[in-house]
Amino acid sequence: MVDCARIQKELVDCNKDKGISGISVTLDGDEFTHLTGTITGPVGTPYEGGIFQIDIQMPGEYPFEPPKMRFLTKVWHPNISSQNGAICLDILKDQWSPALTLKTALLSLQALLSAPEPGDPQDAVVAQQYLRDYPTFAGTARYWTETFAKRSSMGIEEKVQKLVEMGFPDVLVRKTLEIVGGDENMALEKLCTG
Amino acid sequence: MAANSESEANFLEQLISSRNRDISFFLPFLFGLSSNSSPSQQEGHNPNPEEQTGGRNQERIILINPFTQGMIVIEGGGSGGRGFEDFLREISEKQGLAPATKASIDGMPKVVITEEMKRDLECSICLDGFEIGTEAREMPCKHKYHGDCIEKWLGIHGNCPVCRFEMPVNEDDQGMKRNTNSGGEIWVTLSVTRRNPSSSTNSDNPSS
Repeated sequence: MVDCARIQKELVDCNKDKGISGISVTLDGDEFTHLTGTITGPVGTPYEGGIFQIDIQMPGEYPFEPPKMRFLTKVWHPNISSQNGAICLDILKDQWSPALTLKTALLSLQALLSAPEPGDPQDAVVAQQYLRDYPTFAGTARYWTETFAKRSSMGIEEKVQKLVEMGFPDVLVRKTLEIVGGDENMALEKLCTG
Repeated sequence: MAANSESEANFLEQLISSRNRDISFFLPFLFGLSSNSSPSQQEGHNPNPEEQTGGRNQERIILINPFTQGMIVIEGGGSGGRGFEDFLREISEKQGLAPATKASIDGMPKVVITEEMKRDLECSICLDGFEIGTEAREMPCKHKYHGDCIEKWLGIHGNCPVCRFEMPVNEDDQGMKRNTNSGGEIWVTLSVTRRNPSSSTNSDNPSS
């Protein structure tokens, strides 16, 4: 039987500071057995700007057994399967401890994005590329982040830059983009008319 | 022969599960075969791995040990439809520290919770607080938990959830645990072939 009280507590605790941590967890349906985690890609890595979703299955013996986690968002990383999102991370396996939580586990995933361990790979092809040809690896990882982990195809900064290059003042561009919800075409229209 | 094959299987399983890292070391000697679809060794790098594994209900894994020239065939009877990787993962997951000895669990002192202690103390296993006047169990590393919580954990893995302080563990338990974990799901057959051109054709059974 899943410890609902603990999971409930964890949900509240994790979502309390999601603005700062970039980590949140939501229930999938009413059951406490299936959740979805979200982490932001760490700054200064090829995953920067990406939002990654993680499927979380809670075993009946949780917290005495680790939660089963898998990336739903496609990601190019030596320790994450590029095919099915399976994760190679010791704390999700034999190094699990009941003092760990969904939040600390997701934080560890975020740390894993920052510091891949190609010596203990989940995806042999990615790991090989990481070791032999890092620039290509970083390029692919960045491309995958752009393609699969971003809500809109273009980052907000790029949109700002594009509109500023057209001759609109930076502050006004940002404000307008905010008003139209980030849609660059609508922002351009608004800037031209008003 | 039966005893031999069992101990050899245990040895290999131990080799696989002794450390996560060792799997990659051992991988060159592992070959995955499936009865009704083409094998795909490379970690899922075919366009549609789900489809491929979908039709399988019997997974066969062949392990070859180049040192002893032994070969083990493992049929994944209970793991219908799942891949070779899952099997490896399953084995590697079912490890970790053995349970703490009963004596060491029973020997943990009971501590009565005072008002001062209660303030910022919570059981790291259930994340609940303690009631004043109730008893908590204290590990040698001084971390405190509810009795039920920590006894259950130490019965699975013999270390402190917070600092990983290791309690005395029964090594025999570790072996037994492995056996019971794998026993229900797979069955193992072993055949040993010695390459000896001068011997007779009956080379299947060199020892018995």
